[in-house]
Amino acid sequence: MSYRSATMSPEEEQIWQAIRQRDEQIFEAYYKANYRLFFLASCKYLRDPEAAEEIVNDVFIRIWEDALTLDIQASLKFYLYRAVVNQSLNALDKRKRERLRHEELREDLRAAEEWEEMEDNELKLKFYKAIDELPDQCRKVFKLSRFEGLKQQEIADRLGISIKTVKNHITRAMKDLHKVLFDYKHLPLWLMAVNYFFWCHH
Amino acid sequence: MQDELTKEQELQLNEWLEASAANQETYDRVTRLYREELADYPLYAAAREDEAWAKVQRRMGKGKARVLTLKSWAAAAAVVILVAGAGLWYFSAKNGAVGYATTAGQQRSVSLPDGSTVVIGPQSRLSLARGYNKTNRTIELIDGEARFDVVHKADQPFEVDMDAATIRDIGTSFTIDKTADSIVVRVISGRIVFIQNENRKSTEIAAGGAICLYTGSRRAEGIRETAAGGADSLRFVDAPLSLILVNLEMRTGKRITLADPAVAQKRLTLNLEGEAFENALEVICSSAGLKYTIRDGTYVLERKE
Repeated sequence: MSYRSATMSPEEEQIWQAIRQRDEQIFEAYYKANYRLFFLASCKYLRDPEAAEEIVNDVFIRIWEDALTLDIQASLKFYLYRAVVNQSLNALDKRKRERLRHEELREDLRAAEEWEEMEDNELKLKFYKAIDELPDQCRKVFKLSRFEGLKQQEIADRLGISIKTVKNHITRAMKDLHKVLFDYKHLPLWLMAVNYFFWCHH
Repeated sequence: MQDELTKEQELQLNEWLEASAANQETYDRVTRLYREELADYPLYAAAREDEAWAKVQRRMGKGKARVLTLKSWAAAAAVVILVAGAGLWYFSAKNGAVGYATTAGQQRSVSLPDGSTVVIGPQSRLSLARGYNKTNRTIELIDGEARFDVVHKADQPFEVDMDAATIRDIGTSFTIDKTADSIVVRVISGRIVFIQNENRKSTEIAAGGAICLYTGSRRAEGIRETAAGGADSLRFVDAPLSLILVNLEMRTGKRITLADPAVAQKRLTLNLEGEAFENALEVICSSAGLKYTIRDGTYVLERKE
């Protein structure tokens, strides 16, 4: 979906109406399903997990309290995403904001670019979730390689397994993670890019 | 990145990139994503939706509660459940009274018409008598746990009716935990009068004190009163868990709560004198099959899985 076609899906419409009717169970389920997306978006600016959590909660509480008076036409998720980002930017003190203005902030970001940013973050979260769902040993191997930068021999030594086993785990991880990425944009490029990224570290 | 591909791979990549501008755009986005090296994975891994949601719930509880008043209800009728969606609140009413109730895991703060407030614990029910704040200030605690912060009015005493006992406020903050066979009252500030309805015997409890009236199948055990810092307040013989926790709170100033109010009925025989607070909590937990966690400074006891 592109920004221009971003209206509420029937599923989102149902959720929004349930929130307006004070259905706390639906509200809770929606909150928990999307918490990490908004949390990471806020962390990007605030670099402070506690403050980010509070901002996400502020936004959700506001939407709960004002549900009957709010008129959300576009995607509920995008509405919340923008609210979290805006509030995070507001929370930065003036000095930090001015420094960041020259480095990372895009205060004049067009809505379409924000939409793409949200989509990218959603993809990233799918990837992270897929990492969490890898079998135990496979996940350990992948994280040691990807996030701690260990070489295969180092991983083998640390976990007390053979290099062959390390390679098998990495192959398994790549297959599972590839599915997430392939579903996103149907790109054989992804496999090449990920393979490159992975193997070039070893 | 392109420098590291084989010739065949490079050919495939270029063909794909040239196929459309959208492909180039996607490639740029992918590259940017990987260049960031997914650096925020540790934040993702550390995020706890359940704990964050608990904070949202607490904040939502500070808002005004929804109230429904039912017209003329048969005296013999049981609770009427009016549920919109998930059934977070259900409202019971008898003869036009107004009721509040919570489900498991829910806690609600209610502002009463006279300015007093009550925080209703999980799985608890109470109702305001008809004419509340006009002809009376009587609340019926049907079951569960509630904390009251009462605005004092000399001409209209605040009362909590619990069948076996009534509490009359003298200007206070106190909590009540009512189970099938006990009523435990802790006074946080001010004073209350605790009246046993059967014999009209009244006991005045000051801040820091607590009282436990055994009811139902335990009524023969009568009443137990604890003053703040009482010498024998941490020795218990077959005492309800709720009273044990009351005394431990009084002695240490820590806040302890039970995730499952049903556990409050458990009977324990313990001597916690001389134990450091967390040791005492460990003893209680291992005796009662519980574990504890600390959430926002409150020690929460819950069943072990």
